[in-house]
Amino acid sequence: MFSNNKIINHFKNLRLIEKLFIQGIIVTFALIIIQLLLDGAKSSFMSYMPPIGLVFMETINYGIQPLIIGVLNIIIIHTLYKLKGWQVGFWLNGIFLLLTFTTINLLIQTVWGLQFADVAVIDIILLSLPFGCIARFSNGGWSKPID
Amino acid sequence: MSKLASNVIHAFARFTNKSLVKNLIIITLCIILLLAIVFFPFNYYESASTNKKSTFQVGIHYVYGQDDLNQIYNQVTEIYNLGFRAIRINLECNPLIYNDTQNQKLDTFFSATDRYGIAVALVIQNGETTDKVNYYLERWGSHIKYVQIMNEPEAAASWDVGAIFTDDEIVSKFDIMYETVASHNLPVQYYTNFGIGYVLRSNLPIDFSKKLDFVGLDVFMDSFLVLSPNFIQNLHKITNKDVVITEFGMSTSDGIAQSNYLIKGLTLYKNMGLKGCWLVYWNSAFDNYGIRGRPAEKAIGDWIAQNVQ
Repeated sequence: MFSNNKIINHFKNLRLIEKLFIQGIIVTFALIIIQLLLDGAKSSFMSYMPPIGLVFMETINYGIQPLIIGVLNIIIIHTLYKLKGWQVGFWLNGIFLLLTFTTINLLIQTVWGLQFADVAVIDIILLSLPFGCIARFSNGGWSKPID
Repeated sequence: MSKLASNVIHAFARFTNKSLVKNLIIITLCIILLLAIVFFPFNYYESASTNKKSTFQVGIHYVYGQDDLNQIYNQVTEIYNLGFRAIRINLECNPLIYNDTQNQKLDTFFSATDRYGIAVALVIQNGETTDKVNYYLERWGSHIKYVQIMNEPEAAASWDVGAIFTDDEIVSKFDIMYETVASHNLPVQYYTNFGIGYVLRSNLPIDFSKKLDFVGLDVFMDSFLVLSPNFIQNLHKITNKDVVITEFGMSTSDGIAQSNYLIKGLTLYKNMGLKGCWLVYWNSAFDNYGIRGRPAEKAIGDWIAQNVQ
């Protein structure tokens, strides 16, 4: 039923560049929102029975967040490219995307001295397509059913 | 030619589309990205060529107690002539004997700093008593611009070596000392300095910063110098306060290595846009931190002349 959905079918028939842009914008949005939520909660985590709060925060940052991003990415790939299965594990794929996102933001923030809010706008406007390419390349599946 | 290129690209795409190859590529890229995150800020700021002079404040910790009374005024003059605009000192006095040598040294010291307009940062160590602090501030408080409440509390011993302060002990001690200083209504700025270990007890800078004007970070060793931009940005993020490097030094008998290390750090922190960096120490009788009479003294004087307004 899900695969026969008209909207999903419409996305599947888009041109490659459009699919990459959509993939990039969804993953970038997800990363920005998680980053904002974590930044907002950072002080609370840090103040919670130290260093237990720090451990919780790092677990979410580098354990749960990559899993969410990795799962999201493979769902997008399955939805847009008619593929099944995956080549790279969820966590590894997610941490790769997270590290790429963090590195790009760090470079922009360091060189241009911008705040995260400004960088987030740049990410969405300018880097969605390249990020979509990276997200698509960093994982994949197979077009035939998996045994 | 274009067919050859197309074949190469397709062959590469087929090769990388294998699960094993893709996993290896992703793992390798993750390692490279991780290294970039760790090392890029230091390399960028340290090598950035900004020739503009700035208001960056270079300060130094002067252990005036190790000098004779008649040396102190000239030493402050020398420090000023090198371009240092802040001197950090420990709280040391004798509240029992008014004209004790220790107190006379302070009178001389402050007469010199007042003459040159040097900002004085007073360090209230973790074990100081409120009586002594009250005496000190009543007598010399008007000469002081910065007051440091506690020193690296996150790693300090409370009553014996290895007995690290609990959070409750630190916070109550901080509150008592802060209230003691605040009761004197001095026009001073408050700060507390932290070592790299603050990362494990981040609740302390977060809690303290509510009462502080800025926070200090102490940096020693090459490894922590390289990592310091990350620690500084994190400290600024969790406290929302400016970060000043309040202790920065190297204890080595190799004067050139010390000089290079200090210049590297000063360049880094100036390029990062920090308000200041205070070195440890001007003089140091029992170790090799002191820069007086060593290559670092001239090198830093030259650096200040070239980089600071």
